[in-house]
Amino acid sequence: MSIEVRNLSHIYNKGTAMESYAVKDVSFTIEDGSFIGLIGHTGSGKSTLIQHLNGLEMPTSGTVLFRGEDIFKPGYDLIRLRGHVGIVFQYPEYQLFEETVIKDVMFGPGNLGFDEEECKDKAEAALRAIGLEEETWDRSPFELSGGQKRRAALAGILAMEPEVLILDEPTAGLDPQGRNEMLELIGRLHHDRNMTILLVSHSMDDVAEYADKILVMNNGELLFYDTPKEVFRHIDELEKCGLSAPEITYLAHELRAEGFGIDVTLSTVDEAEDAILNLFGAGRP
Amino acid sequence: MLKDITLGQYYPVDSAIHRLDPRTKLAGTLLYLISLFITSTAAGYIIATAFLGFCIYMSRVPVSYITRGLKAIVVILMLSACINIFFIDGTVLFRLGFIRITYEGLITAAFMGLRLVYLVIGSSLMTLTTTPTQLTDGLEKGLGFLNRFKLPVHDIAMMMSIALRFIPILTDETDKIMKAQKARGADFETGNIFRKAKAMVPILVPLFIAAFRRASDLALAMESRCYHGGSGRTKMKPLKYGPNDRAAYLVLLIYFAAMAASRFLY
Repeated sequence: MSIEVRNLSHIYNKGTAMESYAVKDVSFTIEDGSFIGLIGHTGSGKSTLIQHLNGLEMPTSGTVLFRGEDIFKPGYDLIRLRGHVGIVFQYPEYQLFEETVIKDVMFGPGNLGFDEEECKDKAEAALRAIGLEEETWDRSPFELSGGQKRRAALAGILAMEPEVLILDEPTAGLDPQGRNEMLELIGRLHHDRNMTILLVSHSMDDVAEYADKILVMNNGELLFYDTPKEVFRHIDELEKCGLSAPEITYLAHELRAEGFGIDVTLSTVDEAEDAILNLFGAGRP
Repeated sequence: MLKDITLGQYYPVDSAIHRLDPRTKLAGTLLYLISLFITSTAAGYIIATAFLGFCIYMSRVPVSYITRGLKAIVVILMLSACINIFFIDGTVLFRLGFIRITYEGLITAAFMGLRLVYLVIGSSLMTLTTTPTQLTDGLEKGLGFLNRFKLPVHDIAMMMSIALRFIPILTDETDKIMKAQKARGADFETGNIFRKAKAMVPILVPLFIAAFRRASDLALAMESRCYHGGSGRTKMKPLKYGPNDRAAYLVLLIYFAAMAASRFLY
């Protein structure tokens, strides 16, 4: 039980004409070492929700427990918490500011109170982990390409060595190759370091591949929180709130409609490959 | 903290004030600001308070929302009050060593404070009830006569409206940058003034870059829609005064006359 969200609500512009619920009575638990995909259309409250998990936003009501402790109780060390629960925001331009990439990555551990030498070690380890070439480390972060900037921003969080990593739309605006590399990198961090991952996206295809559980938000409310197979069963409801299942799930549904005996809950290309080969092996029913 | 800046923000409700012609509102705001400076009597401030209260009531913008903008000027208010209280000569009410407080000082401090507060509330009320597009249109048309003196009125109006439009965008951006740096453990609240100033660097660098990027994007977007300034440009919704505007001007005139007269009252 790593993070527990209890009846969390967040109201924007309370008491004015623009009052609106960003998050409405949401409760769920993120287990240690899990990989969770958070899905919702634009404005569904997913960004606001994740900002509560490390205390960047204060809830209007409800609370968040980290390892059983209420993070919003007075005196709770939020800076230490942010070292444990790292959030990588969508736009790296909002965080890169130092003269060199390595100095920028050292900013996080520096804030946690590590000395220069330790910061440097952590920064180098983080930069190596995300695969940014060594010759770019002493360059200005503003000279990097879009994909490299995003990696540098991710390194800036990884250098704090968090146990929980939250990524807000890490693939938005990347080309297909950049997207695959980013997803593989996240998968590797989850697998090799046993990091708890919360991947925010509006694309089912992004999360279907890696997530053990999918959390679907719609208009600030929690719609589903279940395994991908269970969530993709509700294709109609997903479409009603502006989302879609992975393309491969649609293919399965169409094959089923044509009379093939295929499992409609499959969600990754590998699963589909096995299922279709199986069909051919067994012949048409 | 950043959500407190109400200047340059639009509050979307439908009210008599919202529906007024922007020129009326601009003229009204200008007259109101002038009226605050020509009066110096209690009667004048009572009239100004009543008028402002009436406008706020008509605008249907919550008072708490308007006064939020005052938090930004608290420091200036305190400073001006201190200077007035301690440095104005007159009938001494209280003395402690070299510190003395005079009756005139207290009065001036109170009036100056009120004046500052009303200046901010008055101008916020205009921006809260007028969209930036309306504001530019109003400025451009209202000041159109200056074109005869070869003043680029359209360009100035456009620059002003872009500047106003950028205030909420940049505050929004600052908020996002602060969150991104806080997520990396940055601390903006504790420490002495030097530490706090140093903690601003991780906000200011990305903010400047974002501002330049936005400006260049905007310039590109305007150019690709063939923007070339004001000459020969027509409007989809040309500004026209209605009966409400005439009524508003009448109210304004009466108010201004009353304020001018208040100089001679107590």
